[in-house]
Amino acid sequence: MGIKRKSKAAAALGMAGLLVLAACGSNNDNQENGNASPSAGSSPSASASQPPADPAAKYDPPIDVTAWRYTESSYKYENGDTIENNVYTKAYASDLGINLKYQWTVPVEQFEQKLNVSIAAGDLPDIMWLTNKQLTDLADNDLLYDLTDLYEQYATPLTKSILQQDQKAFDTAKIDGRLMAIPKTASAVDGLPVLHVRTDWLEKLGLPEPKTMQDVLNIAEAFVTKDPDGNNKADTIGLGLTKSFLTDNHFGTSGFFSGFHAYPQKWVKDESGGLVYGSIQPGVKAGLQMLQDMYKKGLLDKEFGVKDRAKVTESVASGKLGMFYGGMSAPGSVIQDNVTNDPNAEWKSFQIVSADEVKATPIGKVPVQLYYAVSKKSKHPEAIMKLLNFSMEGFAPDAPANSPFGISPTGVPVYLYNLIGPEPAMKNLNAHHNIVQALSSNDPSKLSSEEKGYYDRIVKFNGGDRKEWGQARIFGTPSTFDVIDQYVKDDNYILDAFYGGSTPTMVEKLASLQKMEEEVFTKIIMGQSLDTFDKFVADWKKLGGDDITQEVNEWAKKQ
Amino acid sequence: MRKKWQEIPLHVMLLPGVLLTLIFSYIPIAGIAIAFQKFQPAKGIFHSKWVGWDNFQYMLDMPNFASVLWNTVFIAVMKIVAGLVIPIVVALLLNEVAGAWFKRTVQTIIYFPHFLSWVILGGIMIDVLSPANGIVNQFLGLFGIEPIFFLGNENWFPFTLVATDTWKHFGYSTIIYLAALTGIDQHLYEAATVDGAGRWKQTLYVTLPGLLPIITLMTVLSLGNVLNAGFEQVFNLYSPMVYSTGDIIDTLVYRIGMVESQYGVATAVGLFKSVISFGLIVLSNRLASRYAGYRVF
Repeated sequence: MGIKRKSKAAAALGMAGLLVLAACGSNNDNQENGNASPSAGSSPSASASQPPADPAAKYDPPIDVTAWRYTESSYKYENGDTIENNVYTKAYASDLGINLKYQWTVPVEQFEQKLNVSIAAGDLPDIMWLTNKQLTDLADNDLLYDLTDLYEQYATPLTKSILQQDQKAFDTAKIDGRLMAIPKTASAVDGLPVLHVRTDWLEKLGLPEPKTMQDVLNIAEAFVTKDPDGNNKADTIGLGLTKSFLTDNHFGTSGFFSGFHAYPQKWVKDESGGLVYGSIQPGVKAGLQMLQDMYKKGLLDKEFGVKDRAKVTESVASGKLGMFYGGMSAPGSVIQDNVTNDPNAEWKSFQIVSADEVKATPIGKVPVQLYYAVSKKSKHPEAIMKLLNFSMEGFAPDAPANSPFGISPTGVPVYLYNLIGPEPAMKNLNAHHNIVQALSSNDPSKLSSEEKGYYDRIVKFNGGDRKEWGQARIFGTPSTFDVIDQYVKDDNYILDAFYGGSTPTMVEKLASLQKMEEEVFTKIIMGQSLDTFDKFVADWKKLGGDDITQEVNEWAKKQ
Repeated sequence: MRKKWQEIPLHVMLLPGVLLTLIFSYIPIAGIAIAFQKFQPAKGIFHSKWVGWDNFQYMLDMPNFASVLWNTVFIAVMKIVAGLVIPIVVALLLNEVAGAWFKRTVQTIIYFPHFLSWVILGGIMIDVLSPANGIVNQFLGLFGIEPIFFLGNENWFPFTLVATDTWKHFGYSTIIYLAALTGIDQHLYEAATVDGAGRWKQTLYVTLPGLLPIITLMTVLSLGNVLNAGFEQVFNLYSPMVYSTGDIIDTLVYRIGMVESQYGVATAVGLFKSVISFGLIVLSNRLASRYAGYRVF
């Protein structure tokens, strides 16, 4: 295996940006190198003691790298692109000499299943997308390549600065202190819940913006009883929930329960510093009480218990629902249709509210949900590092604005095709800041291509195109990121304290416990006595919850 | 000797079917081994730890296994009965209808839902059965009946499952019975008419006995489904509100096997189901041959 090496200038230029790299990749002065391990004296990051490595060296002849991944419904293609053949795969080939071949790609809903089946079949590709659970499984069975040394040797300072921005998140990819995968770092604050309210209804009914839980209750009541849609029918809903409200991001209850300082389905620290399960804490009872009262008064959809996200989104789109707790992406994903359908509809996002004097603190998840691991049998374990460095170059401060790798001029999110896509911890929040600044100064020249994509769509909205409303209410101002920004500025958020793989008792008992929890909470909201909650707490502890708590705390001590 | 040679092309034609059955139905039987292992995907069948009957013990010890088993049998038996009786009645009625055009139109319309997936029908059912503005409850309202929350009321839910499942599939079975009806010798009807039998007597003494073999066949085969209450349907329609009467073995296995990755237990439950189904098919086949004089196998 020979590896051609780029000139010093090319390596340095490559750091400067993707476009430059793409431009010089084909015409620089290459040099044969017969050594199996890549070597180059010119690498800026190679340390003296280790065999020198050039992070940007191109493989020549090109190598084949196999992989698997999932795709999502948000992936769009144009100009004949596919997930197997697009601007990224072409750049891997032309700039790095890596021919990427997918063993399979599946929609994200089937990923977990396909992953398990493929691991069972034993045919591992060079680079794998894994969840925490499979990462632990495969590492325990010694099937993964230890990336600790390769990372030190190959990762550029830029790469390291991005991946290790949040060291705690980065360390979730370590097992017994060894780096067994590259974590797909992302932003934890993106997942924080906010309160979405239809403000044209607020104005119509002369209601103030929500500041307290009492306000939320008043708004819900007015939305139901005062006929905000003006059709003389009592057909509107006060607060939107799905049947899986405990776990759902949009139309969920995470933000609601935070108002009672309760965190169902999450692990939180108690006064003694130990981890406790949020669903069995007393605050949950108070929250359930309020939901029960709301249900009794008809402020919730009588049928919320059978409706999934698509169904509740229909209620929003048809102008029947004007308030819900959701994520920052809600304006684009679930509200947009309402705004497109109804020229008068307007929504605003608010910080979650508290039921008492203590400020409400939202909860999010640890931002690493996916890992990129390398098979132990891979012939080119270092290839992942080159792909990683390549991807991170787009985040360099001086990266060119109009590279082909962000969002295409027609709004197609090309960056999603990337095989290795960790993100800086505050990427989206920073995008919001940059875009707001660019909007006020009318100068988009400093925006990255991804940011420019959002910017263009917001400009379209400002020009009267209501189809781009969602984009403006996510990244512009006022927007959901205004709210998230406030959480961050006030340092007012916490994260789920448990982010390990399933513990042994979880594997055995969690399915039953989860079922019990969903059943009891739903029934309480629909009118069953609140005493059932106390019985649930006792049952939960008895039927394995105490063991799980102990295991989770043992895990926490090791972190 | 010459005759045997002539049969060879027929055997060759049979070969692909036999091969496919071997590959997709018989070879995977080896996977039963997983039911007796603490199966770890990374280690595979050959290196996972053997645990004997532990997975079956675990299955029986699960706090809600008894209720889930009961739900499964209850829903499945009602589905089997409704799925046998209704198509026969509809087929007999359609057979009495004179206009071929009308008959074919009805046949097509009732056959249609068979092709729709439960994923789609799930969403439609929520609207159709809605207590607030669903068409079913509006119709019942005409008779002064209070709206019923078919999908959210744990007492109604099993019956809702049976009704919607029968609605989806009865067109298909009806066609099978209609086909069987055309196979009945017309001379028998003529003879019955000569003997003075009216429509009803003809149905009773000519049509039904003529259908008996196919009815027996369908019954015997469907008895194997006594533990299959229909994963796809239940999974798309159930919710935490109706777990107590709607959770079936398959949805439980899904949550244990796929969500918690407990392959051993999931396989053990699957094997348990297969063994019981096999026993029931054998039993019903024996009974059919003894009482109806018809053997499927």
